[in-house]
Amino acid sequence: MRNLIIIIAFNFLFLKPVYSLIEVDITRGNLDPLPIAVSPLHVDIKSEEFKDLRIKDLGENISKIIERNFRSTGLFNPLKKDAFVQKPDIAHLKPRFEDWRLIKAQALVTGKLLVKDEKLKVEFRLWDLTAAKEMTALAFTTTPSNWRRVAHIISDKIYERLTGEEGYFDTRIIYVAESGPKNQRVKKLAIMDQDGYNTKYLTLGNELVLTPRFNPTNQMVTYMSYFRNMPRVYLLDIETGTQEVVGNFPGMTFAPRFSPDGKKIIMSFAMDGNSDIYTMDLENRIVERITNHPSIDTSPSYSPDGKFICFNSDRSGYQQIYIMRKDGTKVKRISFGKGLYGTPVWSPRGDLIAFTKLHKGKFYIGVMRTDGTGERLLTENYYQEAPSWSPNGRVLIFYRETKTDSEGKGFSAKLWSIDLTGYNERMVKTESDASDPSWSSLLSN
Amino acid sequence: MKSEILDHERMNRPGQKFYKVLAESALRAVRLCQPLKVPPTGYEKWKDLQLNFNPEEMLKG
Repeated sequence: MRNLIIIIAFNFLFLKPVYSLIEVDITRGNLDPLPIAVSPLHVDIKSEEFKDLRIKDLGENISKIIERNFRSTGLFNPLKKDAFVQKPDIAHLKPRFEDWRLIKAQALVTGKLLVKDEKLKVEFRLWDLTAAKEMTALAFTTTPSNWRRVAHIISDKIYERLTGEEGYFDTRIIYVAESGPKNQRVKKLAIMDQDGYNTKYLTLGNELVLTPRFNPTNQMVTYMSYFRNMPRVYLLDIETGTQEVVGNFPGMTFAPRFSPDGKKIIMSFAMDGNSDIYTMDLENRIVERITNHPSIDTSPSYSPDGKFICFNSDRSGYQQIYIMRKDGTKVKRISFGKGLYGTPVWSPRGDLIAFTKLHKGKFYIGVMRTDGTGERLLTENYYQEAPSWSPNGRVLIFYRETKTDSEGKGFSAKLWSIDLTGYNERMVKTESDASDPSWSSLLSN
Repeated sequence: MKSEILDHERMNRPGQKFYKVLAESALRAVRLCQPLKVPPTGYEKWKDLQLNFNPEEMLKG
């Protein structure tokens, strides 16, 4: 009897339920851009005039900038406004979710603005239309002339909420604006918003300028300029326009960048056919030699934590990428592919190094891990170089030149951007021909 | 049909931004599939479905 009870008990333990939970593993998805509706921001009727701004159109114009930003990422598909089903002010209070879903929108941006007492008050909301709920909302106040930045800041907040990554719309790009025939190019330093607006020229074009780079606060720029036929590294204060030569080197200095804390400039110094990497402390002006090798060492770029430096060198016989500690010790070659590697630049996330590669007459922009593994070439062209990272490490901007034909025509230089995945290659709008772009960090940080 | 993220707690944990974004995206996908076509019988068998989303394959690129 006792045995029987034990057996029954065992049977109970091994008895399976009548049904088991059905599990489905989903390992694939589609990579279509997210359909998003950006409603024009409602302009409060109590709004006052401000300078020559068309306040009436401000809500529509801000929404257009947001749409353009989103489209440029390749991740979103902003829907046409003619299909919109609700007035901006009503939608902003509470959208009729089912109506917006009918036009196939999955997310909706609404907002309103008021211009009063020379201030612009803006608020926006992001709605998840399938879940029928608000995802994020924000309100802020600024000067009305900042309205384009407002659109970029809203774009950044929404991008961050929907992708989990920091945005890169409230940023600027510094580059070399080019004009004139190829053998007589006039090159000026220019700065513009990431979307190509608000271009300002920082130099007059009397001297050749190259390789401008922002400091971490985006107030200073270091670049190379030819003055009296001597190429030297300069430092420029964007606000005041003050320029100075960096260091007192008895020869040519070039390829400058700031350290991640902004306290040093790292660059190359060349004399008697040899070039090595140096730093100069901007506070105490102390110059430090980092590499000491009879080969050409150049294009230094710090890791975001400031502990390492990547650079290129022809010490192996061919130009390749190396990394070393910030004091110049533990030099290690990381690129071993066929061809020449140059302009290495460390990703702001720290995990990748972007570079230009020249192989069999073609130029490539690519990325590799910091130990040299996982090399991926993102784009191939006749001539392109000098990648610079967006502050979130998701997009690279670089420049591309076209071939001159037999009559000396057809030459152009333009800025291009490409996603880290190798998709979404786009030309970046500039007022003139352009080269050597460098992306700022987020301005609102 | 009701759909929810099972590991709800992880959604709002700091440093789990990407999990949250992926989970929300998966939830959107499920909701966009509605109304689901279901078999006419056996309700008890399929009334609860556990969908495991694994982006690993997609990220291998």
